[in-house]
Amino acid sequence: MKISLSVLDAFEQNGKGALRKLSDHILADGALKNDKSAIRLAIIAHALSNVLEKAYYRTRKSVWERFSRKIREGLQGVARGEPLIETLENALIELDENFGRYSDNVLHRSKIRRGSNLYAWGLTPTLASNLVDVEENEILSQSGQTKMVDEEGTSVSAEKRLKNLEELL
Amino acid sequence: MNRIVCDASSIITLSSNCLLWLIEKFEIEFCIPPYVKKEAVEVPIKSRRHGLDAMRNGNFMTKCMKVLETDQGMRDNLLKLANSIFVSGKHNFSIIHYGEIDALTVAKKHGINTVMVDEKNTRLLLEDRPLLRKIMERRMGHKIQINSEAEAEFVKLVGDIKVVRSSELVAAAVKRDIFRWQYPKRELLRNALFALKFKGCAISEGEIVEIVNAVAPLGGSE
Repeated sequence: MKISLSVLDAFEQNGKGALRKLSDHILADGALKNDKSAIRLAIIAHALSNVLEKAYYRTRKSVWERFSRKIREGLQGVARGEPLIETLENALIELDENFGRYSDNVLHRSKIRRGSNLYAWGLTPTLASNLVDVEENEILSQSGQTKMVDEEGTSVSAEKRLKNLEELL
Repeated sequence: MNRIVCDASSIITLSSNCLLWLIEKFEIEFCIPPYVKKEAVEVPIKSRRHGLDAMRNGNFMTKCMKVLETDQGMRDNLLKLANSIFVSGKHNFSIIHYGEIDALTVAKKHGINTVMVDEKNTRLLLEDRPLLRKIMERRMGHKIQINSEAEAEFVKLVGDIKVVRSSELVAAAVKRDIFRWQYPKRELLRNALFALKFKGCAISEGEIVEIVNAVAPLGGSE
């Protein structure tokens, strides 16, 4: 996955916007090909963008340097075809643990966001939840707070749907 | 007794709003495929965050819902068809999981013509594939085509299934005074529908207004 070098480039140049765009691109590609590794890389890129947005991650120099080194080595290894996606994920989890966040960490939040995007793009929530490894109710809950349904238009009117149900009752 | 098959999304949104109890107040049988029980109970029961919710759901499902067996051959065929309908370049675009297809399979196998599905994509797959294709293209920025042979075969098998949501169930409950609190019907229904929406029921604000006006019009009696 040579695109991981673009992710590294964007990370090292503090490119939050570039990381988001890369994440979108990798996620779309991964979704179309049902490629879970690509989707995991897309989540990592999204999480890195969120990490760059928060200045406090850099307040502890040794923690930040260790994290950056792991990200650099991990993304370079992924580009060479090495199975280092999990190492990258662990680096993100470990970074947040240094700041007191355990289950609700930056990686988990990116998984939910990207899962919600997959659902918005047309995948069912069970499939999306399997691809990003979060529970379906987290994806539904996240999606419910967006305007995705309002933007899409209706196939059958709500009144007709209610009538269909009432015929059964 | 009439029956409805529920998928995991409708159970999740009702349960998240503590409204699952409405199901036992209607004189219809609510059924689920085995996968829904797994998704709503057996998987989240192990998590700290959702474990208690899963237990509550499990308790309720054992009491008030019927698990119907699926037909694996039919399910696998439907899954293959559904995941061949949308194509990007040379790739079939897989959009649905066997868990969601299970609800449709169980409905077909047991002669049930209505499913309760809160998430939008299975519903659009059944009702409006061109709209779903448009949404995919616009959001993903990739050209998507419909394989009309796979589509025709899919529609032939399950195209007659009607979809309702938990929002319609709640609306019917308010209309029939099954769901009656001290607040005006109109406000109760509006708040309940928004609560369902925020927990993942795919209903738009426009549809909420439509349902509220249909069930509790302004100036109507309480």
